[in-house]
Amino acid sequence: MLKHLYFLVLLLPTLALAQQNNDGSLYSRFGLGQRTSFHSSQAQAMGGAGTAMFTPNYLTFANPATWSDQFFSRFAGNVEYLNLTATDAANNTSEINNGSLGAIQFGVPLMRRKLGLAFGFSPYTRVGYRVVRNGVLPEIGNEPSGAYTVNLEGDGGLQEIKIGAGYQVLPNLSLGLNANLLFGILKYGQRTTFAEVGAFVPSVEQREETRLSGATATMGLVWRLPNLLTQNDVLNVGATFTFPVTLNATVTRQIFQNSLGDTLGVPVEGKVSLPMRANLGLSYAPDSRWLMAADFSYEPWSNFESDVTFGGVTATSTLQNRWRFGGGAQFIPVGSGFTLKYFRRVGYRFGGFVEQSYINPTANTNITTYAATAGLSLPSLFPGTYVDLNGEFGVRGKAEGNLVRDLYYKIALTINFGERWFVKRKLR
Amino acid sequence: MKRMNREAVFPFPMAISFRLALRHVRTVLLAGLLGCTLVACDAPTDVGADLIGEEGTEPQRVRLLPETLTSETTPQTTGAVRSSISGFANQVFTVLTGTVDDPLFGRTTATGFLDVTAPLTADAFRNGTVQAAELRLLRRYVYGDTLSGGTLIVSAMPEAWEALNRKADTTLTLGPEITRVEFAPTDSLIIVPLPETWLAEQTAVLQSVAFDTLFHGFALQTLGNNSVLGFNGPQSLLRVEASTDTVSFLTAQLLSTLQTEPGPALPESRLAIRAGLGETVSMTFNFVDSLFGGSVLNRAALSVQADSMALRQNQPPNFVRPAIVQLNLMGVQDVDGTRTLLRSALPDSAQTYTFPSNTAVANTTTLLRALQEAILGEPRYDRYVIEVVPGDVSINSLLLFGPDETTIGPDLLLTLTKSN
Repeated sequence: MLKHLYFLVLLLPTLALAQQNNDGSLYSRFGLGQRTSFHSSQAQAMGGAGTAMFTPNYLTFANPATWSDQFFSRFAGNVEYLNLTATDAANNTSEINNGSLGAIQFGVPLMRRKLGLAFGFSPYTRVGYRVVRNGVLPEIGNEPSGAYTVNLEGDGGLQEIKIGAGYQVLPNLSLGLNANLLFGILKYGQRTTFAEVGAFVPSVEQREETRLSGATATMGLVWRLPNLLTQNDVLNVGATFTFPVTLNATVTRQIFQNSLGDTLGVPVEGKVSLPMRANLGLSYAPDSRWLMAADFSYEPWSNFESDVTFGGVTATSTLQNRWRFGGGAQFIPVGSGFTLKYFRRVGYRFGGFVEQSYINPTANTNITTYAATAGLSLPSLFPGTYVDLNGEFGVRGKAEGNLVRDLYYKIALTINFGERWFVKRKLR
Repeated sequence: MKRMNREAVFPFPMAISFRLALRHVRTVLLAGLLGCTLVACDAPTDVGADLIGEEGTEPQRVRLLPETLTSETTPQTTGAVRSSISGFANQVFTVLTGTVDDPLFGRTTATGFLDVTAPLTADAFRNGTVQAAELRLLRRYVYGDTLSGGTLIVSAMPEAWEALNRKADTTLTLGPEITRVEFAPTDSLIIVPLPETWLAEQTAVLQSVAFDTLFHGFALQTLGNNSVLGFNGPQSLLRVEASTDTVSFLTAQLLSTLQTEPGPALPESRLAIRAGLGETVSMTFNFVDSLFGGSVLNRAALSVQADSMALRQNQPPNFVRPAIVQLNLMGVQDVDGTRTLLRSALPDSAQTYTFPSNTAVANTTTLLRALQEAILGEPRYDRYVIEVVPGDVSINSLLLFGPDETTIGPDLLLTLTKSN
């Protein structure tokens, strides 16, 4: 387990690098990028619901209170593949394919199923787009004509590190607290190239980098209600609250002509205020085979403030409140028993979510995402280790006016390791 | 409360064998994770360009007129010293003399100064008797009346003078007149016999081994010809005949001084560029931050147009005005007067001089770089000056359309990409 731990820790820088590509939704141009969240592979296949999910086989980063219920030391790494087709009002399409590392999560029980620690790294927002526009400057007087290409690109995003603990205060109540470190670089670029050599500078580029960093905290609780409707059923109610956070921002602008660069002025520093986050979730397990969950998440981005302008945050841009409702179910044929029939031990998951984005690219426009999720949890022959294969299929926005409709599917592979550490040796 | 427990309980021997075998599976899975990372493939198009590309992100052309446009005088270098048997420093080969009244540009008076050097082999000459001397001046340039002859006046120079890097506004003290000769307008070689009185006075100097130190040359002026003549310095000489040998004292240094008296005003909204006296056109531009801030230049071209018709309309019969062919665009830093050549230009068929930027931006002394810095609010130069290309001495002239000629006056055409 430690070997794999070291290996996956070494991937950590790759995670940051993996965020830096231009392949994603055009809507990531706005605000701080496209909001993302990864709680666990189990939650991902169940519409993203995880606020009230207690499962000893998974670390759920939706709610630190759930970290109280850890049996194994757990490590999870997630990789995703995205295929997205954007369609505009004229029915023109653009397709991207992108593979990237998603999240890394680690948890360890300090007091088995009572007190647990967890650490996680995952994207908070993602910026990734690229648009190409071609044109020709006409000849005017002695000025030559010139065919040009303008590339509008963006990449980067904010990452979130969570570190905290969950504690079972009462048999039916767990509380949790984690620190959230937000940091990242949002990059926006505009590159103009001319085909004609000699008359025009072959390539000019304007780049803007915004570095953001800050910290906040999340409180969470889960309240268990066993034997509610039937014998051995469990209803969990979970809630979290993340405090508003003020990020320190540094905006640097540069221009490049061919390879020669100039920094425009001095870096501008300022503050960017992100709103609070509130999650409310329910999970219900009628028996050991079934688990159902639902989550509602709310972020009042209309309270967003920034005293610097950059990329997707301009003097005239406005943001709106974000909300997300997701839910799903999991079915394991064998439940908590054992069988040699492998596919009866596999977990089958499905779900869906609807999300209203916080961005407002044009006046009075809602960008809504509708998606269906599904997944398989493939147990290995090592107790506590699972390979989860998930899929998500969704549509975002609409092809009207200047807007585009994103049609996408996502395939995610997550490896969840679980081992028992800190086993006290007994002398005979 | 019932906990869901999905742990499996294996028979111990089976667990060991599977654990060993599937260790490789873990490694493969981890390698698969890594292999899936950072894979990206896209075919970017213009879909969504209107969504994220605000208006103005495409290259645009912006025409900027000068904020200030003035004439100024920066006298050119008209002095030169012979640097080799066939060459003079600063590419100055000509010495000017004469007075011309130009109906457009006023009166210009040129006085030429010529100093000669002793021949390399003069032993036989020094042992003979000096019998005659003549100044031979090869004419190569005329500005003004081509049909009128005149009088060439040769004067002595009373003291030593230095020509190297001297400007057209230099003043030197002339000595007494030595002689004068009449010349015809068609004379390409003007020979000035020097009088015997002068010979008697100068024989010892002419035959001295310290000639270069003792002799200070001639001053040349003309009368009555309404033209400024230019003599070829390398091919002009002092020929001295002695009983034993005839030698040539070659030109060692030359200098032309120029004075001007303004004539009738230039045509309205016209600016003069003149060589010699160094009349230039200076301009500044206002790169308004709100208009240009953060923009990147793809190309820049400064254009000025010459009014050749006005020159022709104000040109008397048989009056020649040699044209200025090439112009330089200079960047000037007022703090120390540093002038940097940014670009040169030749006229097109419409007499338009266009100074285009080049694409090699790595060189900081380019027009593109200078303008880009100005747009960024960090101008390297305080103003831009259009002037005659430094070279041989002349008083060639050019008339440019000025600030009130908004369509054909000086302008700066920028091709730039604004920030998104």
